[in-house]
Amino acid sequence: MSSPSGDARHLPAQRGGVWEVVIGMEVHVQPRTRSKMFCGCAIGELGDAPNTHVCEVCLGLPGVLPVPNKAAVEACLKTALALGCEIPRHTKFDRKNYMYPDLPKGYQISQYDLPMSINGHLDVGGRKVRIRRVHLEEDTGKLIHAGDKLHKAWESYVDLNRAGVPLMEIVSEPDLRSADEARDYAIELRTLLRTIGASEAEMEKGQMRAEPNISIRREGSSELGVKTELKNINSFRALHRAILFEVERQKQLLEAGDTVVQETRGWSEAEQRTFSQRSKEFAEDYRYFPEPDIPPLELDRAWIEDLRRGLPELPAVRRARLVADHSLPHRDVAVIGADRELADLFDGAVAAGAPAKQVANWIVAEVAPSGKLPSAQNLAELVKLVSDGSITRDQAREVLVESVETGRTPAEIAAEHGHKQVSDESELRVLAEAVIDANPKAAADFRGGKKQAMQALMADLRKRAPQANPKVANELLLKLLG
Amino acid sequence: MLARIGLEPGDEEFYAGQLSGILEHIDRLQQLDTEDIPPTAQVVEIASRLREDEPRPSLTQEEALANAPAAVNGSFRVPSIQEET
Repeated sequence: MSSPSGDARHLPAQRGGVWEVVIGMEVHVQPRTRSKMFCGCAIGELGDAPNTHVCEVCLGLPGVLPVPNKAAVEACLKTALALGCEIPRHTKFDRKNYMYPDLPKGYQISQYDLPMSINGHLDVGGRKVRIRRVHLEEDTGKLIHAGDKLHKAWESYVDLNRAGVPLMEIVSEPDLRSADEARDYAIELRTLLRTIGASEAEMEKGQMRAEPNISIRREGSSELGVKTELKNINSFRALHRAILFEVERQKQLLEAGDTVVQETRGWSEAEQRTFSQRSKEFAEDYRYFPEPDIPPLELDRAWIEDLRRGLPELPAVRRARLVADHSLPHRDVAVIGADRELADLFDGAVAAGAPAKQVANWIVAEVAPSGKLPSAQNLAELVKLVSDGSITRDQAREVLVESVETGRTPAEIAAEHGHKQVSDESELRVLAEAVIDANPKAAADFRGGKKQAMQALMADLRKRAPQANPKVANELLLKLLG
Repeated sequence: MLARIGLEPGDEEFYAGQLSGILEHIDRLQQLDTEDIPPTAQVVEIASRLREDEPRPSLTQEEALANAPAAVNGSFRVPSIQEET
């Protein structure tokens, strides 16, 4: 087909009017466990030697018994609870049968008609996205294809280190309406998973995989269009781009009078397009049946309530509290509310007596971008040193870096470097006069009405005297130039 | 495709007879009245057997590949399943 970015097929919308995009998300998340879903093999790292984290169970050898991992079940239940799902009393595993070399048993152990949880929701930017189900299953192995196209001599190499790694599948209803919303949903889900400790959810490490189901329809229509499912998406950015591409592809097909084929399509990061992944080897009939080797799970209510009580403050509640208790602006809430460690740091520093808005400023401007966290006590002390005028902001930035590296207190470090802030007017006046003498052009520009020239003068002043109180120095420069 | 069974020429009739027998038996089961019988996923009366999340030693790569018809560089080698593009 022609490229969607080409202009040849782009026809104006027909009488049906505007297109509406409809997206449901299937997200696979690797729960935080040390061992696999049904056996004791360790969870390997990317780049480990192939087939070094495998055993009789995950290789699918005859006569073995899979036993579910309690930590994986708990992570799945916590995720379900955090998403407001209903947890049924009975749940079971099923076999999903298909033939593919990445699946050593010839089936994947998954959950079919009695999943671990159903009917939840996740609020994303004010929109309530319904969650259909969260269930547990196992990952497949990894295939590497190699060969010689000319001689049609292709073969595949199978590494089963990933086979049997636990996965939670989180399925949403088709409630998302744009690439932006789908990306925001995935990001919010990651924040939630990290907050409750269910998963690290690093997309780049394959711990979280998002598969959007996409269709389009004329706005106002209540019927769903034919959907395609996208796979091979490895980042939030790729998710966004893949959806934009696919929506445009479907629009062009439909506007040209063609039809969308229901199929799985892969995203090519290199080519920035989706391509059909239909395979003649692949059966759509999975012949699900109950896994006879795993007894059903009776989900004890006391256990569920324990897990519910053990959940930390969820991101949505945290954000509301940051606004209600500390009147933080949206920008600060977006950063601090999205990361449990930053939120805990904020709460800790405020509890240690530092003013909330200034703590938030330091976290958003300095701590979050560096990714290195000081202790709450040390951050509180630093903020207080700045706010009571003991040291300048520039000095405080250096102190913060050193404090994070060494764990020593900001007061100690500031004292050692002789950091202090000079606010004494007579001392600063001498300095300001020297700066004006040394920068005649900037001074003349400022007097001539170019207000930006003050920046150059202040920069020189701070270079000469980092300890100068910038506010007092600025006032003195204004006075001298006035 | 639901299954791939390699047959030697001449075997077709033998296996066709067996498969027909299995299908006939399924048909016979379909005639039973199961109206008031709840679906049964399990016949053993145990539930909720879970394992603590404790890693245990895996096989060595050599052991893992010992039964493989073909192996290359620590991986199982299988015929290509990649579609021609």
